[in-house]
Amino acid sequence: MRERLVLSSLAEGDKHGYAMMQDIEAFAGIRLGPGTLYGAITRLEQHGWIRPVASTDRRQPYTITPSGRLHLKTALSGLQHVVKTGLARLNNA
Amino acid sequence: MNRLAGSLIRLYPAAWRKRYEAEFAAMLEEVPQGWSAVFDLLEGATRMHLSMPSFPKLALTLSLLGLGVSFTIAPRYESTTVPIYHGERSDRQAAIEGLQAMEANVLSRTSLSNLIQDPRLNLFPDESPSKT
Repeated sequence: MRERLVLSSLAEGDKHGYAMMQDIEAFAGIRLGPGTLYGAITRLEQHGWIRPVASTDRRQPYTITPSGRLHLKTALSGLQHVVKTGLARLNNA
Repeated sequence: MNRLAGSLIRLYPAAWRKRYEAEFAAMLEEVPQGWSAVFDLLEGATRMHLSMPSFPKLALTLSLLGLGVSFTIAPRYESTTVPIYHGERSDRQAAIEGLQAMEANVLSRTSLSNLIQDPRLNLFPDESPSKT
């Protein structure tokens, strides 16, 4: 879940950690703590789904990789199917 | 609180800090500080330790594995006896010989076999002949 939030944030464009926190809070209403966010960043980088980009700032921006985009698309498509099915069943009940 | 949060970075694994410490510290300067951030950092450090290979984790894993294996091995029973001689000094040699004979008798195959198969002791229930 946290990884999907970070990938969704980076799908819009490169961001550093605090910008991701603010963006995720804005679009998902979830405030990730600093430890939680960097845990997700660590795992995503290990998978090769995000990578750091050059910066002159102390803050480190990250970008989503092509395999990260593919992973996010697959994950969200699966989620979309679950949401559609759940809503349809609720409406039919 | 800022100083506290900054010092909590030291709780993260050294290998992780080598890669992320500078940017993580830069981000902490921007994040609003509070107890929730402190607890989040503590949780994050714990999770990071658990996700990285280390000797203590390896030792714990092997210990748990050993414990698991120990349950699959048939139990061994051990007993100890301390005989105390209260007789005359002149009878000592005879007592030693008597004890040696008793030891040989107790440790004989027949005696041990009787102990193992004694239904009252029920020493190896898993290996007893099944009833058909």
